[in-house]
Amino acid sequence: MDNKLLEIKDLYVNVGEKEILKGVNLSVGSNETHVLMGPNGTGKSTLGYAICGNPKYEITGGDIIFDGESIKDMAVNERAKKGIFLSFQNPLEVPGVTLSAFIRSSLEQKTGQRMKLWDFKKKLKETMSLLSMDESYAERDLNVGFSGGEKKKAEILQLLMLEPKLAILDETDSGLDVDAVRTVSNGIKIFKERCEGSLLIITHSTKILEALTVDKTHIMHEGVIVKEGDASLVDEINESGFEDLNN
Amino acid sequence: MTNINILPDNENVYNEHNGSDVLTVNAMPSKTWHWLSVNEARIKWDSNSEEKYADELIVISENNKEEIWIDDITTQNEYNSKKVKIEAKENSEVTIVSNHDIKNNLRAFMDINLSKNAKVKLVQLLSSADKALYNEVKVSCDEKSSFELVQAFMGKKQGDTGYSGKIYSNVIVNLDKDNSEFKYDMGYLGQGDNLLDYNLVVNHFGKNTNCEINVNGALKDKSQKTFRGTIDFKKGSSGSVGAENETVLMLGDDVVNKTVPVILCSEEEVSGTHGASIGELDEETLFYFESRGIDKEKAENIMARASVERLVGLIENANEKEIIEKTLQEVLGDD
Amino acid sequence: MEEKTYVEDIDRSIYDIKDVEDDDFRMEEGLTPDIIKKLSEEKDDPEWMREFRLESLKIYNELEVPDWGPSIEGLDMNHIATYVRPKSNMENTWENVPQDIKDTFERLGIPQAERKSLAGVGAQYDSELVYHNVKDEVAEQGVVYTDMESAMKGEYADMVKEYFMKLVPPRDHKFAALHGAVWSGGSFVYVPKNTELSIPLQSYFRLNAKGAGQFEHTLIIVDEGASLHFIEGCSAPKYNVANLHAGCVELYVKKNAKLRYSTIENWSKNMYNLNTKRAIVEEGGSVEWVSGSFGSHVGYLYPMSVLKGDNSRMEFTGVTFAGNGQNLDTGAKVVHIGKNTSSYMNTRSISKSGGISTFRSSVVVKKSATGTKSAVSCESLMLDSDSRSDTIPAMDIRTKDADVGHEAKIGSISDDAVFYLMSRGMSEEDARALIVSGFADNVSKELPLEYALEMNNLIRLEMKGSIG
Repeated sequence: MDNKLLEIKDLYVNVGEKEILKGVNLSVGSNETHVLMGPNGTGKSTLGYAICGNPKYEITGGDIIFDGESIKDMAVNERAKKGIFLSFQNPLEVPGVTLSAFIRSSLEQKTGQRMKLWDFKKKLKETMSLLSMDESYAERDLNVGFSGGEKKKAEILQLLMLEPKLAILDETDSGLDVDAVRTVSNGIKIFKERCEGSLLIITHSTKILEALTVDKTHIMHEGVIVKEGDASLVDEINESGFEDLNN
Repeated sequence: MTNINILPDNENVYNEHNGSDVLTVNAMPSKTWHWLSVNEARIKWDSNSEEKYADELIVISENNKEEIWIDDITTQNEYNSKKVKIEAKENSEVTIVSNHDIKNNLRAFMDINLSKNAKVKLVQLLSSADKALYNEVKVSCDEKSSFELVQAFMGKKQGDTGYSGKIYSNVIVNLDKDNSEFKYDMGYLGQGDNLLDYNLVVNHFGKNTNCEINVNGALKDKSQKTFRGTIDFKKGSSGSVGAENETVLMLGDDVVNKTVPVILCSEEEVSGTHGASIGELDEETLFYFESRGIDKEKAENIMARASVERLVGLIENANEKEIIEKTLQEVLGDD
Repeated sequence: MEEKTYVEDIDRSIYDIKDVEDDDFRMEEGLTPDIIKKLSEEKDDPEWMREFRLESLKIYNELEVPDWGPSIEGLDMNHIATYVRPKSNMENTWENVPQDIKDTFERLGIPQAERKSLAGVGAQYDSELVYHNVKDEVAEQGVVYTDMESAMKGEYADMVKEYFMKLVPPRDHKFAALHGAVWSGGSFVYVPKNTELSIPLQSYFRLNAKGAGQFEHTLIIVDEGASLHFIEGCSAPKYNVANLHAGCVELYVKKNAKLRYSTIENWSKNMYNLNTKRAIVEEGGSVEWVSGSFGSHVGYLYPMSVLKGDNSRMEFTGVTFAGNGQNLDTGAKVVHIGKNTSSYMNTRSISKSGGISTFRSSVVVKKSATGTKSAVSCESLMLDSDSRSDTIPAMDIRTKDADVGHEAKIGSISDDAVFYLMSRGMSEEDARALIVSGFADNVSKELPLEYALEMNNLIRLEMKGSIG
């Protein structure tokens, strides 16, 4: 058996009555960084949600193998516990639940035990400083009143604290200014170094990739992967766009 | 064609109380259909026991800034009726904290008068293991005065009879004069056989008066809750704005929730809004929690806690914050 | 800025033309067992109906007048004639209807609409129907559309007996009991299984007699898999004494059936409209109410939907316009009993020149109704500070597996919007009328074109002279 962390086999996904993914094949090895590109509305986010297990995205065919096991019928939280993390494009605001309490609860679910408060706070503080996040955010309600940039940083903070095996970043860089992209990109790099995790990055821009070594690039169009290549494909797409995909 | 019962199930909680030893409280200013049993609440109240009053008058003098802790609603039980009158004079600023942790049935009345430019913040923790509390707050607001009310209810366990406390809360705020304002934040956690019956009436008399109402709660087990919220724009209250929002998280299989969000209006130039959302944890929130490995039960627990914990951020008093945290810990067994 | 002036009583033109009263029979005023017996005799009721009437009268005398809505003190039952029979038998061609009555319905546009866009028409004048007809092709489909009296005595007698006032029992409230005692006229509709009517049926109710009451009963059964659009219209000329309308509508929507019930209510402003409408919906069925309330002095009207079957649904779209001298208490009720049922209410209220409009609703979700979805959205518009607008909704939710939402908004016409339209050359009056029509378009969008036009005309009529 080869070193495949995630293996998507001929995956078909419906949202309501509409078929969005029409036979996607894609695999990601351990400690690899993959980029997923493609025009808007082509099914990239759908793939992210399907891997993560959003119940609105119905798998009608194919399979998702993670860490040697089919996860397609597994509950969302079980998948998360196995080590899948999705960074949301629009993270939800949850009034009344602090960022710190949320992360601590998530960690507890994953490890089965409650981390000592002191150890937790220390780690949280360290990680926040790596992301140039003001400490006060820890005690603020989750994403409530956060700017677009702060929300994305809060997602990366969760990524670093939860240490998953696979992180899917869904346009984590969209709508961010140059500094914020740099911080987020740096955070992702730390994730790679610290956890040796794999990455599937859904993006439109190259900025977020600058600090990373991309192993493979996948291009999606109308619900299928139409082209695959190495890091150079990213540059190619950025120069000539997706126009010749239709051929 | 068989007859269909179109009435709410088991409609007896309110109607079981009839006769002479019954107090009628929490009446809505505008009635609706009687079969809904929301027009008022009837409390069984032992009329044989003698009324023992404890009255108190607190005056905050002009330009003074104070913090007052009223704790004898908790500890002494030589009375079954407590009245507190508060006079906040011009330009005064006061925070009043009261913790109603009752051991016997109690009626508590608070009358608050705000003079010009006065600022009053009242924080009330209403708590009862198995007794009934009727808590009334009546407020009148002069020009440019501002009243803020923070109320929390958490059930309390006490022996085998725990979580059967009944809370009747009646809040009447008169925004009498121009530019006065009122902010209300309420959070509750009902469980066991808790019965929570809230009535809120905000009367906008003055011009450019403002009210903002946020009610958040969670109901577990067999708990029952009624919230009647009335915003009344009286003639002459032009330029006034009123907004009310209620969120109810339904967690128990046998819970009962009644919500009556009323707007009365006799003035053209006003703006009033109401929103209510009742149900289980919404799919989007649940998915976000689950994507971080938190299962449904845990997510519900976190959100139930959040409906009350939200209030901690609105309270400055460290003691009060601690009481909320401690009670939540006892009740939800978290942290 | 000019002072606002108000025109107290607008010319309601066609609706206000009175016919000379030339009745065949007018029951003496008041309510006694003797009067009820006499009424029953005049109508040649079957025995069970005679008893039903007398029992209803008993209940009527037991029940209290509602203490939660608009005052009905101006209504003295001792001075209401409960039965006025026009000098006409029921006809199925307009030629045979007496000229003056026919002229009235011509002015209201009923025969014209029938020719153009309806599958069948019933026209009631005071207490009895004067015209009833269905198109041949509709009758051939097995659709029954007739007056209640014929239905009760004819082929459908058993069906009428089985369903009559079972959904709205006389005990429901005082005026349901009154209806049970003195009802007369109205329509009976039966749509057989899997029959789809592509064009609507319409009943029109006209109360011409001064100081009289109209108590028509509408009973509609839409059988499994069938669909129907039923339109109800009503009007009366204005008198200076109280008239009363206490009709009752019972709608039975069977499995997978669909019923749309549209009403443009335009009673005169001396009318007490104490109407009861209710639907019961079986599995997979749906009921859609479209309701415009413009007339009446006092109105109590809250169509109820009982969602009994799993996956049944209801929609209510309403607009209420309360002008000078009007106190209209309207809304809707829904009871969720079956699983995965859904309800949606969307209403607009407008208050003007001292008018009072109240939106009142109830959403009851029983414990059995898991998977319920319910949304209520109500908006009110205050056109001046002499008027009043109240919103009194209630929700009673007894299952956690429900998703219930409520939204209410109250406000006035934005000056910016008026300014914008005026800057494009519109007069202030037209600008305000246009904004109000737009505000009410939730209902006009749902009506067939002719009725939408009628409704917009009514709004324009009401808005006339609101500024000067």
